[in-house]
Amino acid sequence: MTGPRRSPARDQVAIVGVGRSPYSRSRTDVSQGGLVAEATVAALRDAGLGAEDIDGICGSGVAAQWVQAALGIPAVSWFANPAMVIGNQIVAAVAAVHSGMCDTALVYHHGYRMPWSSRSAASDPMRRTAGLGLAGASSGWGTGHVDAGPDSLALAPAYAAWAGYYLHTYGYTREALGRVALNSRTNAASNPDAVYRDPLSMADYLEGRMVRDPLTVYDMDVPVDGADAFVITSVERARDLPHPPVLVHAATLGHTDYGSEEQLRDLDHAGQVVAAERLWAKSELTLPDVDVFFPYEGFSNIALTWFENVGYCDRGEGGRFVEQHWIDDEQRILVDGRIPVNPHGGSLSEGGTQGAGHLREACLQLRGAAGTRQVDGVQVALVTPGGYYFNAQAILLRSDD
Amino acid sequence: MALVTVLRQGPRRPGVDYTDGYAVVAVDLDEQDGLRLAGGVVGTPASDVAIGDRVQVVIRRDEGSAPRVGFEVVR
Repeated sequence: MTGPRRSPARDQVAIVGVGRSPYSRSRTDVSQGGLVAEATVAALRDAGLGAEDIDGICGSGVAAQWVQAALGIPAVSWFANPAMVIGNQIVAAVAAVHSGMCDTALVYHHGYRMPWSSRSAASDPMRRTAGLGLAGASSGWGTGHVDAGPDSLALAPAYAAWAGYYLHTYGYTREALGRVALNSRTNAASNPDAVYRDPLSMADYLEGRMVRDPLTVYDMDVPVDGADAFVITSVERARDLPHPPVLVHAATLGHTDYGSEEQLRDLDHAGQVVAAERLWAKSELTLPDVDVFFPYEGFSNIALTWFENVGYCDRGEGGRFVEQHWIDDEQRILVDGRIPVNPHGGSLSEGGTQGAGHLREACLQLRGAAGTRQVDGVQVALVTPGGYYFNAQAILLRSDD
Repeated sequence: MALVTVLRQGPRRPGVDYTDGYAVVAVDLDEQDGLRLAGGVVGTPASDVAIGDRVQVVIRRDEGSAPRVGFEVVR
């Protein structure tokens, strides 16, 4: 698994447009497609492009054909609807643009409160019957679980079980998870679009309502209705467009055998390990080049293992690493006193769209367009969406020098 | 017992009571290396269930629910 890997697409494809719908705790008057339409139109406008400029479409849930019709995109030569999360769409679109399947791709992901993620959605007759357009609402990744009920570790309960395993195996108390939640909340205060911006103290965190031991309401992404979209094209074309191109230096997916929730052997066999190893094997850049880090924290424990797997520290040391790089005065993480972590507030406080928000913020930071939360001199951003089994992903972005 | 969580809320199902938490676990079976099953724990308070506990598979037959696999802690 070690040693350099082929990477012919390195720095050849760029993200040239970003757009979002507002994230909201409840927008019951807008469909999933409506959210995607808002985000994709915004991304096209941001890129300075029109519907006729798009010839590839790639998104989660809502079908590419629906988006094409909604936006009046006259003709596409490539489309795909990989399962969430956003790295699947990015990897597919980068490959399609680089190989010439299409020239410019419109990519989207929507977070939509589903019955399995939101009690209010579960009481909404429309949403109870709304699938994700995938294998079924009870098995969003089609991994074979037929029981998402209380006797199963399918989906969210497994992350709680692995969080408990992490604390138990590596000798932590819940404060280790709490710092991830506090970091996101502190950073969200600088993001006017975040849904939770009120300060959160460790005392508040420790008293948070337990949902699935050891995870509280503060450890799990906040369900929202919202969507993000991106426009992706060749680096040559990108240089003629309005915004500084954000180059995709490397992008990987990671999966292992026994790669489903309760079957994962241990954290050394998580998909994160593969995604991170392959990412660096495809890169000319190394971890010290990274200026801002976006570990997915839809469940707080996932972020701790990302610190380990991208190489900041050894297995089981993520919680102690975060403690060592915790800035008490600011109530947030700055790696080496320099590198912010999820400066937009992440899934825990900006809103849960499964990593799409992390990717958007990385693009804005690389453009120097992140407003009051802009990090000085960002040239390289590392985005690591997903967790342990079927959705671990890593994306290394750089500015165009 | 390889993995443990305690559900404090969730969908209704016969034989599942969230009042004091409902323990759901993944268990590595002695019978075959690498064979892991998930299910709920019966007969032991959720607060007393921990990684490393030994359990026995039981078939649960709660009225109003299809038969399903569960686990009893062996002390």
